[in-house]
Amino acid sequence: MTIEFINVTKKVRQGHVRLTYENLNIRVEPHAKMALLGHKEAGLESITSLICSADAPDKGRVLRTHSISWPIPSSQFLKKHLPLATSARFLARLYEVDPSGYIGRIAEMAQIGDHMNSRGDKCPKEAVSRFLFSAGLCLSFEQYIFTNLNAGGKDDRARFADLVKETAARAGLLFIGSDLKVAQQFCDEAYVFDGKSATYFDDMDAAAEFLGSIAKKGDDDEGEDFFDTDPELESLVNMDF
Amino acid sequence: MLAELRTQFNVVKALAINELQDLGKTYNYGFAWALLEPIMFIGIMRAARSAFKGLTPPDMPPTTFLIVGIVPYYMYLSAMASVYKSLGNADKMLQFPRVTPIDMALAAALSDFCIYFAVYCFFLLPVSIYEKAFPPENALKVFSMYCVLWVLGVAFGFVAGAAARVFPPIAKFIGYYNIINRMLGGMLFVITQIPSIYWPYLTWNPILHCMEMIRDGWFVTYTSPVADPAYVAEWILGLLLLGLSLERYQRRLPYV
Repeated sequence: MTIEFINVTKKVRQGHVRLTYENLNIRVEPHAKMALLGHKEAGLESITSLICSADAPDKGRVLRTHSISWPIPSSQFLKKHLPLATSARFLARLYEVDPSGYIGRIAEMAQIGDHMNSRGDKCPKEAVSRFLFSAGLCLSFEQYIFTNLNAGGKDDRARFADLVKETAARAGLLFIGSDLKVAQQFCDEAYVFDGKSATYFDDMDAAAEFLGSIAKKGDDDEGEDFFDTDPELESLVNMDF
Repeated sequence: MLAELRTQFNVVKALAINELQDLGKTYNYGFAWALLEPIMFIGIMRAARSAFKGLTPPDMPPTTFLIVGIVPYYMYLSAMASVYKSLGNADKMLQFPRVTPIDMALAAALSDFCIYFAVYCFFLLPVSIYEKAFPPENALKVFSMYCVLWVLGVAFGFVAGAAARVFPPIAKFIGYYNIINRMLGGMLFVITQIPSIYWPYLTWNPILHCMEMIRDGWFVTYTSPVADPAYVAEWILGLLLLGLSLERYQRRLPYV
């Protein structure tokens, strides 16, 4: 009952993000509260795709021996030209659950009432956000994957935080992103991705410190590169006016 | 095993319904295009055949003759293109761990099957009744051949889509193949209209066999001298084996 990366090599090519992870070995135990942390350019989208089987590694193996959710709160399934209930019905068909019961549970959890029968593009953003979050939480998985844990508006956050904690008590939680505060609130172990490898921490404070040091190093490197690549610009900056 | 198959069936069904619902998003040309494209083609061909009487087989009503061949052929092309696109591009739905590229491909092709089958019934029933070519001689044969054409389109789409991941310019060759197939695939003629010395060159094409069997099944007045179901089955088996093997091989290749 784990998610395991065994000697995984993956070239990440997403826009200007171009990096290669080599020999990644990651293990997410059942019921683990794990964070996969990295900066925006750490290629975490590719890691998410590998975990969800949306993509395959260039080398190595990704083993998954339990059921996992999609990256919540992804809006990829949402049909903006149709009622929210239609999108929920799609998930019910996909996960073989009773549609009417499932839609009822979402409506209750997301507190969206009549918005359930409104077109996606006519609903308030906060209601859609709560819907997307609840759609994942109302299904049963052994591991829930989150890419963002801030659902709805500011007033909803405490309630949804409680719901996530409640869910995490009976299943595993995997947070993938760069939001350190959220990771520290919900997780107790982490892998930090630095663009080449992933480092494991069983202490979230140490993970935070390491992530901060990568950011600092990245900023320093960026400054050096900026001037190194353009000597003319460097001379202009150093010019004495 | 049976439970897994049932799950995959439910996943494909959910995705196919999802695909059909997506058509409504671009309603102006979504369903409309599915209707307009065959209508335009049938209209042009019908006008051409009125002008050149010799192009029409004498014992088959011309409009029914065209619809019986053209709509299934368009369905074949559409199913092939859908599978090709599904395998060639990363789809957002793959984020759902229980959805695989094969499910996406089958669902896209299944939605094409449904759309073109509706178009087929919509045109063929009234026109064939009007031209006194109704009922079909063997409706089951017509429907079976319609399904066989779909499977053939899916199988060819698997081969082409998987090959496109390794060699994207293959799209050009598929375009040429489609042009040739439109002319030689039997969409607009039956083999008895062609001199028999050319039959060996035309009957290599499995699409021609399907078209012959569809017309054989619809018209009481026509019996195909060349249609061979076993030959079509061999093509389907070969293409599916090759296509699924290639699909499995190219899973580790990055999307272009």
